Amino acid sequence: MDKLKFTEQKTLNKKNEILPQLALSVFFAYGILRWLADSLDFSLKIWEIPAGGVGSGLIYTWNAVADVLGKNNYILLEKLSGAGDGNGLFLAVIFLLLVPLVYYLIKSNRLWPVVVLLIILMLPQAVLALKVKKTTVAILLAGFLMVISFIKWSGKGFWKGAVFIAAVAILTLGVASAPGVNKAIAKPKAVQEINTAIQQMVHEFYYGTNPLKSGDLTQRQRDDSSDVALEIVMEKPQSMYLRGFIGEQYMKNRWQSLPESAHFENRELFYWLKQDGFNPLGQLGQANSITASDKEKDSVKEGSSVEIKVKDADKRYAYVPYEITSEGIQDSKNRSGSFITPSSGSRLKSYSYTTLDNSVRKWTDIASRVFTQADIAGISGDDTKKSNASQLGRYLIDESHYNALVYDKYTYLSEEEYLLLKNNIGKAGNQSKGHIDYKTAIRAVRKYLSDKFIYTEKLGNRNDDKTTEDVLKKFLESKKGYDIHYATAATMMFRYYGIPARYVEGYLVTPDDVKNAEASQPISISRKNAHAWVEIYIDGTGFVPIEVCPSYEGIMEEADMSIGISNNTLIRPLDSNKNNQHNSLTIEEAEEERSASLPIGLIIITLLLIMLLVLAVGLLRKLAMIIRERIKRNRLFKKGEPKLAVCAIFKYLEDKKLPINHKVRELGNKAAYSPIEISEEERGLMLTALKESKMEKKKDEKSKKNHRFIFNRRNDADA
Amino acid sequence: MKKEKIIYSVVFTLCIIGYFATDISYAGLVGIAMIFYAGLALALVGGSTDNVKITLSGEKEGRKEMEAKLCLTVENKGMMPIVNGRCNLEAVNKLTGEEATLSKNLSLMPKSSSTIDFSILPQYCGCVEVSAYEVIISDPLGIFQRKQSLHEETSCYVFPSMNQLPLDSDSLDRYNMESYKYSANQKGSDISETFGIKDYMPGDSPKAIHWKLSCKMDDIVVRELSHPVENSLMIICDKSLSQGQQLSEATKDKMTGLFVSLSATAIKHELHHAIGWYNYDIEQFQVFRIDNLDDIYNALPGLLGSPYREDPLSTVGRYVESDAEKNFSTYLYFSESENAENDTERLLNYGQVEIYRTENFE
Repeated sequence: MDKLKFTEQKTLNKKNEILPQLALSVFFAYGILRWLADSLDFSLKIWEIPAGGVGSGLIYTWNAVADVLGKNNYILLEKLSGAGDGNGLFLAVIFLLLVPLVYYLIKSNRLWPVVVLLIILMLPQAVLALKVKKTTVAILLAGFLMVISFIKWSGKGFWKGAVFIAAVAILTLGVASAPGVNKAIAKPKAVQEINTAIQQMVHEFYYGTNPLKSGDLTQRQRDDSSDVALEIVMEKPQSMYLRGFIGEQYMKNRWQSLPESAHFENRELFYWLKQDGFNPLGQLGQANSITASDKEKDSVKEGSSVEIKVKDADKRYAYVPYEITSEGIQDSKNRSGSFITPSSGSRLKSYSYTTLDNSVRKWTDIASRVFTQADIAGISGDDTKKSNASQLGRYLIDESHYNALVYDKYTYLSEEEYLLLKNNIGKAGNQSKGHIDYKTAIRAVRKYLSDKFIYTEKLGNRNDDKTTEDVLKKFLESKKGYDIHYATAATMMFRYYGIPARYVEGYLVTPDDVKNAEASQPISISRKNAHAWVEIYIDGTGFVPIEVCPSYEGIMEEADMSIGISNNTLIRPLDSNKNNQHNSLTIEEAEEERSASLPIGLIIITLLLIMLLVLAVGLLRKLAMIIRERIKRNRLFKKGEPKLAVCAIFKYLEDKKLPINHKVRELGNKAAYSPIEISEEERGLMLTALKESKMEKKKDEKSKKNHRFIFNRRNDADA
Repeated sequence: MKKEKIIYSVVFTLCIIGYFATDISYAGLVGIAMIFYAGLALALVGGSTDNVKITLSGEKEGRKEMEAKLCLTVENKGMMPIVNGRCNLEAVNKLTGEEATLSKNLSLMPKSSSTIDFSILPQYCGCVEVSAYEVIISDPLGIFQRKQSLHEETSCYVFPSMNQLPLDSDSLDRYNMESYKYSANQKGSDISETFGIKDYMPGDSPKAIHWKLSCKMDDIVVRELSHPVENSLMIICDKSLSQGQQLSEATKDKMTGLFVSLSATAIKHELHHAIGWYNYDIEQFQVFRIDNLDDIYNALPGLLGSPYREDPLSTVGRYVESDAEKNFSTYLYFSESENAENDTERLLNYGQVEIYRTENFE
């Protein structure tokens, strides 16, 4: 038999149950849609609903997602054809599907599906650092909390809870819009520094450390540990520069890569370059193999394998030479031919690639061959002749596109940097017909750095705040530093001279390291081999490393600078785009959220409005109660049973302290205590007496006021 | 509340971590919102306590397997609204020991009241005491709560099934209290019946001398007079449990039903009697004289409201020790105890004892 139990009364009024659930479903579904739209950069405007169809809208949405993920995180998704001119209709359909889904979740009365839904929405956004507006965050979270509250209390007090949560959201938004608070939310510099430091710690923990700190120039001392950084197995042991981190933008105290959006925008260009066989990452080796003499061609074109095992080095970047072939590395991402990173989430612990013979030691010769052979063959950058061009011709056509990109991205100097260099190294020379001659520039940079600077790996204590210190300026003032400072200065100087340049950190496989190495036997490269250098772009040839650190001169095989590398760059149509002034790098910045700066007054007004609303509701309720009571009372007096009515009227007269005459009192007592029935006439008499009592009281009160006034006037007169 | 607080703390910590360690743009905003929420919630909850008045009312009588309606009126006397809250209720059947709990969610504007209707479905007879013992006032997420203790109660007596038992008139007539019996154990002063004979002792009344026997025995002997005892009936319900003994709710229900049915059957046969039991709640042996059915109904609240308890002393012991009237000629003892025969030995000093068990009526 069952035990003792409570049973609930079933609510008959379904409307009161369903209405809040529906309202909440719509609100939360709107919050979800808005969240998705913000993250993926869609617009949600009612007049755009008819835009696109459902199918074409889906494709449009997918392509937009691919764009956002590519621009923000360099996650490459294949875009589809057949996109419509918008996705308004598709989003409307999504909204209509979300409403019943949310409704079902609320009806299920379980919290965990709602929490899981929120995590699914927020986690990718958090991991991929997609931007959302503050109001969107407020709407989504307010909706989520209302759902939680609804489920927790089975809908009881839903509207009050919703008002409370909405008030918290409005208050938060209002306060968040205040200038100081807004800045704090957007993370002031100190917080950003902490952020960077923590992320750096996490990266170092996961990926390993780079002795030169991957572009962080704030170190005061070079890491001199001698642990094994890399273990290399070469089919054909040879010295090489292994590039890892590439610094493309100088940010006063660090080098960093271009934003993901910049690399993403270039992906189509690099796709077609790759299709054509152009290899930006190993361009130097490619140029060598194309321009090699028939005698050398076979040996030059023959690649040899290199296997790298990363031991105690940064696993975020692949270490590749200037002669890497176009196959690249498996399971990795090539960022615009600049550097290679792992596929999302993984680490480059061991990998292999094919490389051609060391071309760095003869890059001047290669450049010379490229210019000469191009001149002789009369090759231009005219695309219409591409199909008939020779291998060199095709290469130069492709190179011209890459060349334009390189000049666009890697010659940038800010006004401040330009002036700084001008003040320190003098004028930038005549760049009306292009950049300064390579040889002249290289000589000038080397001479300046070797004559005026002292190489030291210990810089002593910092005087300035490392967060605001301009390392280049500090280096130029203090005249001391080590390879990262030299490479930084050299990169900026080459850009000052109009030559595209990048900052590089990597490892040197020196001739000494491979001197006694046997083929296919592992060679250990120590962390001491880590080095920072500058690489400059030689037209038609590719990026080449330039050693500017006096203490590193002679360690690696140098190219013969006596072989002419003039400023006679190959004339090509795109050259007219080259600007001999310092270019503004159109680095795309992430769209900043513009919050409408609401005045603080709005917070106060909002709170006041809420208070007024509450007060107004209270007053209205009170008024409604009074009116209801009055109606009830009048009904009883006029239409109720006469005996009851007379009793009630008499009680009313007593309660309100209205004047009661003898007859009224008698009638009242008769109704209350006597068994005799009261007639309608007597009720009428009582009602009349009530009316007269009220009027009498009014008169009394008026005359009392007048008497007071007269009394006061008399007093004044007396005075 | 503890779980919600832990989750709140974890989320807030994640916000802080997100703000300082990641690129999440809204971590700071969420953190500020959580601080505001906590502040407003504390103000709301703190300002709402001790202003709640509860009234509990309901049907006083009920039937088994039929819902007894109850009504909970909650009044918010304070100036702060009760956005969310809960009233915790407990129902206990004092006879069978069954318990049930209920939580009703509340939400009230300031200076307003709300009525919640619900009901209780008892399966067994007894006195079902429904009490509202606390009100919890909370914010919408249940993170901050304050409790207000209450002591509002209402009782509902669920009557047992009262049936006519298959007892023949002859057996019932034995307990007719219009006739007299004489005590087999106790001397008295009724000259119409001789209790016993003894030798004459100085001081004995000459009127008590049994002349016939004295002649025969050549010695003076006197008669001892008997003590007349009303041929009356008492039905006792054994509510004590020996150590380790357990009675199911169904058995308790059945015992009570049979007890009351026997009393009703006796009254049907115009047999005036008394019923009694030891009430562990008030620690008193209760006796009710039953002259009609109304007397049974009047006695029911006491019967239904007294629980079964483990007791080293049996109900007989409690009866004997009590000040209750003991001049009944016959005792009908309702018990499920295996030691009922031993327990009732003392009762034999007072009258005849018959033991009844529920199995007797299956």
